[in-house]
Amino acid sequence: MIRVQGPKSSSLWSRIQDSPLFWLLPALVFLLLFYTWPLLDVIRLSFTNASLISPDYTYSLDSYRRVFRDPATWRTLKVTLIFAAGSVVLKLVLGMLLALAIDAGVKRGLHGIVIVRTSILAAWVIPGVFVGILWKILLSTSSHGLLNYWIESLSGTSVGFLTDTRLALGTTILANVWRGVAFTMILLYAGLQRIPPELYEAAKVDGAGAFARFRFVTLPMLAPIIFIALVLITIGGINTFDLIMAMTQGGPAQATEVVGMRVYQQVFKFMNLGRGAAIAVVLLAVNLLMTLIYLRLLRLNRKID
Amino acid sequence: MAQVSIANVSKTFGAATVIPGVTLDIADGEFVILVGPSGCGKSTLLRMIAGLETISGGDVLIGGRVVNRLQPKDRDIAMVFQNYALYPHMTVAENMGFSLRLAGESKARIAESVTRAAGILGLLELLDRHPGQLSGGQRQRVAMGRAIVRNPQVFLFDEPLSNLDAKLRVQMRTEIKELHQKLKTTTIYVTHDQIEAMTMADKIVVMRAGQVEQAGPPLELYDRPANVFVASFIGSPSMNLVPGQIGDAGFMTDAGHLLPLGPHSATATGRRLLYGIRPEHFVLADDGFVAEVAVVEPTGSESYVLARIGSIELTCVFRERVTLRAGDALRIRPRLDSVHLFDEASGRRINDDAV
Amino acid sequence: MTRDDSEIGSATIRRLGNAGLYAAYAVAVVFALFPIAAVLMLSMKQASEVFNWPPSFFPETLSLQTYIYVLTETTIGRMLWNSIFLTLASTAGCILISAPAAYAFSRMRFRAQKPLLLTLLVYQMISSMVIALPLYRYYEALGLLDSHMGVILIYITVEIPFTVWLLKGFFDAIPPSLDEAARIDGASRIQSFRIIILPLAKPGLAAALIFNVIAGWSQFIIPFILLQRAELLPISIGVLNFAPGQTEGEITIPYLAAASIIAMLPALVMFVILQRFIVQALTGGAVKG
Repeated sequence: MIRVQGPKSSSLWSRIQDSPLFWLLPALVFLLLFYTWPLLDVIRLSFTNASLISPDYTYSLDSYRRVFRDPATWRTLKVTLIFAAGSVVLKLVLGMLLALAIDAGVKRGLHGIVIVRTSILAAWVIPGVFVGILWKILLSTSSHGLLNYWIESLSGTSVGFLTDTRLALGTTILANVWRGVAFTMILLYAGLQRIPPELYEAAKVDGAGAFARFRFVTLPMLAPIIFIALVLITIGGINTFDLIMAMTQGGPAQATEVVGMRVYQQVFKFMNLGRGAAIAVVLLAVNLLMTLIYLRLLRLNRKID
Repeated sequence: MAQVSIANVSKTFGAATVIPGVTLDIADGEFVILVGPSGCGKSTLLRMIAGLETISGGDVLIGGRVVNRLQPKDRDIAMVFQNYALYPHMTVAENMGFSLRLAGESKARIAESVTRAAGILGLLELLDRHPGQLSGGQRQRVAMGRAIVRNPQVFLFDEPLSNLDAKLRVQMRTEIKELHQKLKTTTIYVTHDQIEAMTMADKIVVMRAGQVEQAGPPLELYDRPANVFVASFIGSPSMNLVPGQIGDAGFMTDAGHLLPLGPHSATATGRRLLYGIRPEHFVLADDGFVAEVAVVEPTGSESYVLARIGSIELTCVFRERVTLRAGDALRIRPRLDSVHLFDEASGRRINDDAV
Repeated sequence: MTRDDSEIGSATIRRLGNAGLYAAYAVAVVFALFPIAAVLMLSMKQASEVFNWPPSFFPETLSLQTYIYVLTETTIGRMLWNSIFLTLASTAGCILISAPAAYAFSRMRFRAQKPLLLTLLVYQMISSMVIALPLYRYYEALGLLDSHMGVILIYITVEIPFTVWLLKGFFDAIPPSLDEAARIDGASRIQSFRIIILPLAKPGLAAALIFNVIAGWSQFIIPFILLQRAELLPISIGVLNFAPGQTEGEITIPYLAAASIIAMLPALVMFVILQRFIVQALTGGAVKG
């Protein structure tokens, strides 16, 4: 840590400047007022039966009991889990393939790599809500749905990407992967650059083919980054709201209702503040758990470095 | 008056005492060099004088004022850092004039001071360049220029030449010395290089583990080192040290060889001692003792010879060409007035001990 | 990787490999750009074309009529302005607040440092839905609901953790001996911060700017919950209202497409211009921790 300190200052103004509080105050005020306090409040509300419209409430564990007894809650959690897991796996695999492909291309001096990287990255800067709308337009079953037209002319039936309860979740996962694979790709690509080429050469001398080199050199060296990416993508996936809102609004028949959507519904559609808060606290708990895992991984990572 | 007094100054970091207590007096206009191995506390002491570290105990006085509680800018000092610490986004002129600009001086006065300092250091053509465009030596001069502009009572140098290559270091040493002769400002200079210390200082302070081993003019430390540490630290190649005892005929080494002694007042018969003789104080003499040449390293102007007497290795430096090869026999004699005796247990030099 | 040319036919293998890679690139580019391209094409179709069967990828006649309609007859102009205003105001506010905080974390030492940095990290991981609920009630009581000011305050708050962390990283890279030299030259901390640290951290400030703008433009949950009046909505919410429900006719699709393209345009344009910086900022990012 960098410290610049010395004898205590003489004048009052200098002494004020020397105190960390002076520099931290605005940030602390904002974080306390608009982040910490609401966090505490939502936890408090989860222990009530408050409603959005009426001002009275009592404290009890009722909201939690209702939430955990409700099969819809478990269904929502399952949907969220599948969404997050599917996103993670696909993003990691595709991201890895893309990173390897670009790395190989760079080493071979192929052209157009910047175009590839730019195109994939372009999807990442588009806000989630617009991604949802884009894909919704693209995948509709109505007459302007280009994709469905092609599929229909090939197979005879159109696919209800967003209307079939069995396909909707997968479709949202696909859209999520489409927008987010760039992040993983860049992360893994940067990691690939950090692998010393001598390791590959030594492996070649030892007789390892391309697959073996990937398995025994690339993967182990990338393991720390892969784990970190895993945690970050999972957290992002669990917290997704805008994409799903735009694409399916949680439908059809709650097939894509993730936790965030359920919280929104409970509080703003059914006015159940207490219950909504309880689900939100569950979401919070999952976030905190994943953060803990992330921190543990970082500490391990630093030890390896 | 810009004398600097360091009165029993100590420094602790939490529970660790890195400097137990240093007392030092630096006269006005003196060029004092703090020298010692890494971690000996010389930089810490310098930074305490500058005001970049708090003083745990004792007092620092500059020009008669106690400055313990003063900010660096109020101590009337200027510092030259090891990595120059030039502001990369400012031109040379802006770097040098920064302190005056902060003090609110007029543009004219700033330009005048900067030009004067640039003139002294030969930087006039570089005033509009940025540090990134300068060589190492030029950057160091700009750092010095920044110090000169402040016209302080004391200059502080923190290993300024460590980042320069050898040839440049030799050149800059002379420039710094010339600068000091011209400006006559009190200077406190920190380095780990004993050659810099020997060539530039009016007074050398050798430090080890937070304590002053010896302080005095360079030649005094060279001729009369207070202990083994100072004796080994000053001078390159290092002084030869041979263990043994004083006998009737001279100095008897542990291996049984007799080494000649000059006049001395040490009565240390029976005590274990170290016989010290610098490599450059050996003379080729037919009446000397025999040694076997192990290695010869001619440098052009001198010849380094590693000689062996039995198991004892002696490094010799002759200021002439020698036609010796490995395996040859060599007859050498030490200059008797340059023989040092140290008590092995305490390391102290005992040549001048009273009877 | 060194070329091993001792194998027979290695040049052919290499060429096959290259071809395979090019094929993979083509697939990737198509996959990445197709949705955008398709919607772009859709947005340039005339309303009458929409009912054409079979539907074609390219419009028969390129027409910007949809854009003109959307820009002049709908409230999209207002929504674009709202997004710009909210984004710029929150970006400015966030950087103004985060830079001094990052300075404190980088240049000062205090006991609360590690726990505070940890808290910042944790706050980045929490979904804004969690705090949006109590904020709704909170704002309702304070009368801040349905106001740009209220929303800007939250935008700033949720971006502070990342911005502080990002700027701290860049500040840490500036050698402390520069601070010391400035102190000896007589600079106060504020002067040192303003004249030495900030100018040298320009890449960091640029990165913070980019991330804040992207984040501000993408904000959904917060404006969704805290804003109701149509004239206040940023485009991320507003464009949803263009979306066809089950009952609306398909004639709105090209208009929706045009609206979406307009909404995405600022982000895409900024991206194309600043592509290199974004990549740089990303690769310096999450792995450092």
